[in-house]
Amino acid sequence: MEKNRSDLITSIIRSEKYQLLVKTRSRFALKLSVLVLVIYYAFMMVVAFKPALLKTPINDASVISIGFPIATLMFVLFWLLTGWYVHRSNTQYDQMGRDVIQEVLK
Amino acid sequence: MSALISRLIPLAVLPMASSTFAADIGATTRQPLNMEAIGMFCVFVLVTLGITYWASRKTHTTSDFYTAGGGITGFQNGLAIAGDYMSAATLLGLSSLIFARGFDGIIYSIGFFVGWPLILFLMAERLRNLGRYTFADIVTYRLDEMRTRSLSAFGSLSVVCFYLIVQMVGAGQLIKLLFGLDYKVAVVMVGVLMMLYVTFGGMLATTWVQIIKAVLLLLAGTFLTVLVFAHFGYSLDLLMNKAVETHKSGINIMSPGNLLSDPVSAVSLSLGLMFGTAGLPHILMRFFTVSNAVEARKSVFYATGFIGYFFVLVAILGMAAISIVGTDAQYYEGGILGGKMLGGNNMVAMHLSQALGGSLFLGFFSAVAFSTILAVVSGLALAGASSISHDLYATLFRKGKASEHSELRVTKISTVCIGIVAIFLGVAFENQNLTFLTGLAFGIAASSNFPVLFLSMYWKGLTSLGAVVGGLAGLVSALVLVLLSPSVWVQVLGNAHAIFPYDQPALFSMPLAFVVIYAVSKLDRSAKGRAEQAAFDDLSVHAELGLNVASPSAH
Repeated sequence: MEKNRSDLITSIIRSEKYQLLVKTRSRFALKLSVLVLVIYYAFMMVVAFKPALLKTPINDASVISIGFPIATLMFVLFWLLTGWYVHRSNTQYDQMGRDVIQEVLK
Repeated sequence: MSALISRLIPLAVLPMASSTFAADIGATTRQPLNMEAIGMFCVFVLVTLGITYWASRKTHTTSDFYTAGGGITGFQNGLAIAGDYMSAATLLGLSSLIFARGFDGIIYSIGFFVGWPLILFLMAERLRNLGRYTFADIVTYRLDEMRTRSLSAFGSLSVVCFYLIVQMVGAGQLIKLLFGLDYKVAVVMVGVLMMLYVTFGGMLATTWVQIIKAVLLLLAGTFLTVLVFAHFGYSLDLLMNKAVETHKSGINIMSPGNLLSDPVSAVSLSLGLMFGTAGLPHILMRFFTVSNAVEARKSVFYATGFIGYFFVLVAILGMAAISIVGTDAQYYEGGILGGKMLGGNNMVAMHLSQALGGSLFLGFFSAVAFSTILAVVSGLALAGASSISHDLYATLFRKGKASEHSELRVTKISTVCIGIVAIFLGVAFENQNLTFLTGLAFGIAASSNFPVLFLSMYWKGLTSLGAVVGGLAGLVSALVLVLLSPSVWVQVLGNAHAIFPYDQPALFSMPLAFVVIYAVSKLDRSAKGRAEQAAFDDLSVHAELGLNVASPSAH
């Protein structure tokens, strides 16, 4: 059993389909993570060093500063990114994973 | 400036214990008995006890107890995760912060939020594919059982302990305030209910308590927001105009103020929040309650949506309260506008609910706030009990040979013990300033639990020696830095100047943990370390594919 298991692991690791899955999925996850961190820390740097930039009103008649829609957009955007990740995993990566298992087990 | 930030952080970091600006929690005055609130809370308790009874009849095995048998759906788990995150403190604390400082408060709420997408992209699926009952299961997948599991269990239990004290004291203060009950009565009540839920209903009851509370909180928040908009003739412009007109800082509440003028503190706080969340045992445990990686990632998607929606509501409530609560003398002690708020500075959302919805809605809102604390406390107790029975007793003490029956018994005994200890500590710490405990809980979670867990899943080169030495380095440095910080060294120990100027240790202790883990693992040339590195392939395949089908013996 132990032997079988390590054989199985080895054949999966060597499988091109598996390597492709790992590569594309980790790249995608990393890209999204970096995007979130860059947006968030860019915002924080503006807050810390150029707070006046967020002071501009959204239009001449309003007291609401552009900071508010920007903050709201960040909530929405980050949520949409999680949706994007879930969608791509459901439609693409899960299938790739099933293909790997099928290929190795056959 | 860091002194101001340090006083605002604790409430931003969740617990109710420390009120916004008056750090003195003892100052919360006991209100007259609030019968509507008590009545509605009793309904909540009855319903949840009914669910606990139902859950107890379905909870037979350790898997049922720790993870509800893995039968929670992604949507349910998403609500439960959101419930864990939308604590009474985020509702009351953030709305008060926005009430007091406008846009600055909103900056904080983004900091709370941003960790969740990262947890999804980097951790959720792997946690589900590798974990069983506790996050120590993942760490010990290929590492030395004895040493790394002891470390993870110790990390879990210290986080649970510190966090639980803060929550218990917060619960006592809040109930004293909202319901007019005696502090000790309140603490005992929370402790006893928590023991009942967890001992009898395990994860299934705990999850449902969390779900019900999350739904109630979202409904109550939505309803109050509708009332707010009706009050301003459905005009956001009018709402904001009135806020600017009546706030003492005027137009400045529309833009970042001086809250973040100390970037080091701000970054340290945000790191602690982001990665601390990914190291909290009761949050990590939630990922083991769903059946597979598909449901795990769905749960984060739903949770992120609910949390984001809730924070937007809180922002609207906070801004609306400026002109509604802030101009009404009846909400201030002695009727002095701008003085001390009735019941403490964290009560803004409560006063707003009374102003717009009357005393009946205030009662409902209070009951929801209390149920929130109960749910969070139950999750913590369950995480602590699991760590004691699964990590310490069954795996380390009995070397995995404990029977299902004896492990379950130990879990229940541990839950009762945790409940009793929590009540005792809650009473003992009644009038203490506990802000540092939150810093500690998040500091340890971010600097010890998270780095070890993360690298065990992602870095082939990790060895047990590296994990243990680095994890301890993170834990000890977080502990020492908090001890030397303004919140302990100055406010608790009464010294004139803090040796370490920041309250949040994460910016320093977390990188330290990573560096030590890396260096020690690299230097570890033992045969054992080599074998652990070689076993990474096995872990990696399981993490990527969730291979439980292919190898039923999968750890």
